[in-house]
Amino acid sequence: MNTFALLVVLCAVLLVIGILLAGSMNIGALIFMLCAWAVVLGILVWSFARLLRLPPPGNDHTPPPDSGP
Amino acid sequence: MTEERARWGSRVGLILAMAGNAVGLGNFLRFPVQATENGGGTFMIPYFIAFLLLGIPLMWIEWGVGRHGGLRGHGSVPGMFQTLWKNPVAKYMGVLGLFMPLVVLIYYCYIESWTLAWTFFSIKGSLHGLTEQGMRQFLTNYQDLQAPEMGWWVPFAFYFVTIAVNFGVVLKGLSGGIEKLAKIGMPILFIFAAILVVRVLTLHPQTVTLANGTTATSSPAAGLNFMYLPDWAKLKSPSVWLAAAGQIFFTLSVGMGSLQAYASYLRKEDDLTLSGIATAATNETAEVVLGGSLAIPAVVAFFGVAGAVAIAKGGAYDLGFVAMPLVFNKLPGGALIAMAAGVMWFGLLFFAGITSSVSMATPTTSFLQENFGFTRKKSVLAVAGVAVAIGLLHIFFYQWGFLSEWDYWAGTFGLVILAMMETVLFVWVLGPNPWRWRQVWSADNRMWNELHDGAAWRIPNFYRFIMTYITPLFLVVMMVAWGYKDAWPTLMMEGIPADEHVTRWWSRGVMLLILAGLMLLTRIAWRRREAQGEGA
Repeated sequence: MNTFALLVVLCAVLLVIGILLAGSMNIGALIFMLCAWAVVLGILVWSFARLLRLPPPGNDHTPPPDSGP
Repeated sequence: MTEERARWGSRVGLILAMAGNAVGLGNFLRFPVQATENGGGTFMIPYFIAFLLLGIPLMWIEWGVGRHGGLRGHGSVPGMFQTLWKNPVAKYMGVLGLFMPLVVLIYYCYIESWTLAWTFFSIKGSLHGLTEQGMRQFLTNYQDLQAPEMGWWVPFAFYFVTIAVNFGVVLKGLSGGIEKLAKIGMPILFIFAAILVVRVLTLHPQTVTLANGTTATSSPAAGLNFMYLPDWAKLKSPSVWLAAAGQIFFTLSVGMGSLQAYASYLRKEDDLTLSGIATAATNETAEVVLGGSLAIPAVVAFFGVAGAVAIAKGGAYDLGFVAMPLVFNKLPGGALIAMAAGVMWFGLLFFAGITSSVSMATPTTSFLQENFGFTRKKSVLAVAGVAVAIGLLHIFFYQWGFLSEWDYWAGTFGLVILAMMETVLFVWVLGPNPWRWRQVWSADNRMWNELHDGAAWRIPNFYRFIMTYITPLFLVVMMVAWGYKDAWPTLMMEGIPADEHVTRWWSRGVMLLILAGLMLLTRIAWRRREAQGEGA
């Protein structure tokens, strides 16, 4: 699963929501809301995309070379 | 006591169960009320800061404490604390991690049974056509067991069904019960919430009658404006910061003892850094993106901002069980749409509730199995028996504040105390000496290394500083501020009607009895362990 592609899709969805709500919402509130959603959904998409690439819990696995302590 | 422990069946199941544990009634009821009472957009700024400095670090700490204890054969907090700190006092400090989930489970199941009941009432059409006063009376009658239209036994029936479903799931075990429930319940919850959010946000502007009798136009966008437009002057208010930090605390279910119990089933080679943040993000999606776009925009659309603030002052139950059904009655489409919206709203609340309550049963059942050799069935039946026997007191004495006492002392104040203790033990006792700066950043930082065993992602290094200094400081400030501002007046029952005092004292007495009983069980358990030569 391509994490970058998922994040791009997320940005596009948020952009569409922003355009749909632009006429009725205060612009400052809209920007704050979209930023808040982007942070929360961005972490969600990024973390799940990475987790789904891992083997199930309990199975031995080696962390990627750039990510271990 | 040393037999092979159960394991999670899949990574997604684990994350959904952990997220199910965190996502509860608070995401959809407490969050909108707190946000509305504390200025909407003003509240959201400290809320996100607390999420980064308090919520995420505590999530990692709880996963770390849980796995550390689980690897040493402990599925509940007393044993986990004992493995972190070899002082005999440690296990008694950890009794709070048995006490709080058990106490909250007992009253939470009762509230959860309301959501099941209201789902049924939505299908039956009992809520359709009721005025605001009628809707509130309906809730009060149900709570006071004086509902002529349904019979006194109905609340009991829904309560017993809720208890049976909860303990039935726990009885089926980790992979076959809890994980399966999360895999079914969490997607349903998200789908129901998403459908309701789309319906609410696509509502046309409504004409609302204001308190002074005049009319004005309001819309869901006005609700979102309220939620996300900060009043910078109010940001100086300490109470807004405290409320935001408190909400982060409750929403992530940290300081309870149940996240640790779930994490105790992980192995050393399992990731917990990425899984922890995924759990937190799932919970925040349910709360901010869905919870924040549902109740407040809907209520603002039909009652205006001032009306929404007034409803929020009535509390979470007023919002969920009075205001939201009124909103559904006003939706275009008549009785059928009102029924569908009601079923989705109360259905999602039920799934949010049950995925949390099954997690609260886990620490005590694990404790009995691991320390007294109980079978799963025997331990589940024992906890269910206690829950039903004491839960009935909540049903009988709800109107005299029996439940409110438990909700405050165990479900609110106690969480901060347990979180403080586990943070000190995991970060300062297992980890580096906080007064030695270099140890915090060294490769020998055991707390940091413990978190990174099997890690699929490396936590940014600045979190060493946050977890060692900022998170404990945040907790101390919360504990002192709440102790001063809330705990003392609550203890003294300031503002509580005199006719409730006796029941509330009894309520406290029952809580203390449970605490004493769990302390005694812990003492017996460790004597048995010592006799068998197991120690910590």
